[in-house]
Amino acid sequence: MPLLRLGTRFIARQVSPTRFFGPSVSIVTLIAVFIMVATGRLNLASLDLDTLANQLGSPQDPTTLVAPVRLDRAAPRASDRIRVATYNIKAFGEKKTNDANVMQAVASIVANFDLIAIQEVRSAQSMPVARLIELINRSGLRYDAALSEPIGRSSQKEQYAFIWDTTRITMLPDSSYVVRDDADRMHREPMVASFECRVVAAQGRAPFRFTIINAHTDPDEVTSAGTLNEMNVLDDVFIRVREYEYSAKGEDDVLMVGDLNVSVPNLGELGKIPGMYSIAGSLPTNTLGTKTYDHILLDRNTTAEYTGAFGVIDYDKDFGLTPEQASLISDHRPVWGEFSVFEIPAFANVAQQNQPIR
Amino acid sequence: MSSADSSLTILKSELTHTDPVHRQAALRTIAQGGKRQYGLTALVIALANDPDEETREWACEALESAILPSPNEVNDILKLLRDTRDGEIEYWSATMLGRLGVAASCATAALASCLLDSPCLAARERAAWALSEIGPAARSAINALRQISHDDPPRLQRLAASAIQSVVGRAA
Repeated sequence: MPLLRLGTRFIARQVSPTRFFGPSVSIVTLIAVFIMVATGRLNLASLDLDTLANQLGSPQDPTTLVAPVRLDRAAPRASDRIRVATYNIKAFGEKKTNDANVMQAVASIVANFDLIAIQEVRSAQSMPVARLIELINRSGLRYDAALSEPIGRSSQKEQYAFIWDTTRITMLPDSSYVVRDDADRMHREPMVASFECRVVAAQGRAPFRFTIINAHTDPDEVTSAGTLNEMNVLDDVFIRVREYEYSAKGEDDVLMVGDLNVSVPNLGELGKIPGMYSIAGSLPTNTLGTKTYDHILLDRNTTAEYTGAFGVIDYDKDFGLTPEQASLISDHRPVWGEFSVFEIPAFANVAQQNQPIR
Repeated sequence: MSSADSSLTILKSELTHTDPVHRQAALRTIAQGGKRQYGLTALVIALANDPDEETREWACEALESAILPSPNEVNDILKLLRDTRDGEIEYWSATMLGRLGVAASCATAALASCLLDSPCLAARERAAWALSEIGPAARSAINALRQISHDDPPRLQRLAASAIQSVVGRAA
């Protein structure tokens, strides 16, 4: 495992992605990966909050600018765009995988996206994600996944996962890791990984390459003031990850996604990073349609690849599920956004257009 | 009896059912229903150390995202905190008392005891956080908070410092 020094004070050890080549291989691989990732983290212990606190901006609510797009499941996937999503599959453990209806619904949802960040995988063996990939791929699709080790302070730990369509996206080798947090500033340290669209470079147009941070905050740790609020730690994570990716790979496109347990006005210092933008804004993301918990955040100054199209999955309208059926899957709705498959220079930003894209 | 009362009665019955499948189903309903649940706090906390693993998982899931304690449940939660030496029960009891804020001020002594004596670090941290949430009404815990020293884990130190500021600062 290579040790990477970030600046002079931050160290991360990279983690190989966990791939699913088949159930038996998956189990062996997962066990091996869990052993390997024991210390693979970006160090939050020495982050300089005071400096970062000066970088204040104003988070904007994009719902005043654009409208969400209904997911057209029947339409063929656009060759020049990808859909990236985040989804908290509540307590996604082995029991849930034994429910064929739930698994079919989850597979059906996940297969709509080119890359999806999952929170709340609950199984030391990672079997839920392995089974999900197997189910999706049974229909001829070619999805793959990477998982973190179980994370959490209490006895109940959970994993993050990235799931992606390998025909459209590739994970960059050795690019996934869990943020290291020696000072224990977060209940569940985020997982990071880098991806690139699989397209043939055309006339100087390079494939869109980006880093994605998958986070799940503790609802009891997003309300206090100061550094004890995880929203005031995630800004440091975003900035440090971007600094590292830029210095190591020249990459400045970073997405922060996940179940943050806060609405846009409560994004804290994360929301004050200049240019920071929650693509679904204050749209409700719980199944009751009453609260905003989940976000896809990006810096509009750098990630011009965002097309401005986004949505929050409505189980009823998009998948024909009753509230009772939906509640068996999760109390969260997936949030998604659309991106160009090609790199677009910063500041050529199409995300600011004020009309929905269909 | 209103439908809400009826629903609560059914959930209480299921949560205390001898069959873990019933307990799990009730907890899953609470955790995934998307609604804030009142009046079930102590029952659900107690299930956080249920002999059945799946029940424990769903109890913690419900506690994290769906259970909102009401002030009239303070004494039940306080009793759990006082009577247990189980880290998971301490952790969630302290968390729920913290969510109640000043309404849980009568739990100050028990939280201070948890802060100093619990063998579970996560529970000690949540006790410090809860005292901070209670604020000036937790003034009697100031000596316990000041006993958290440089030898203690960094996060516990930060939480204790924040609690001291909350207890003294707001009172000043």
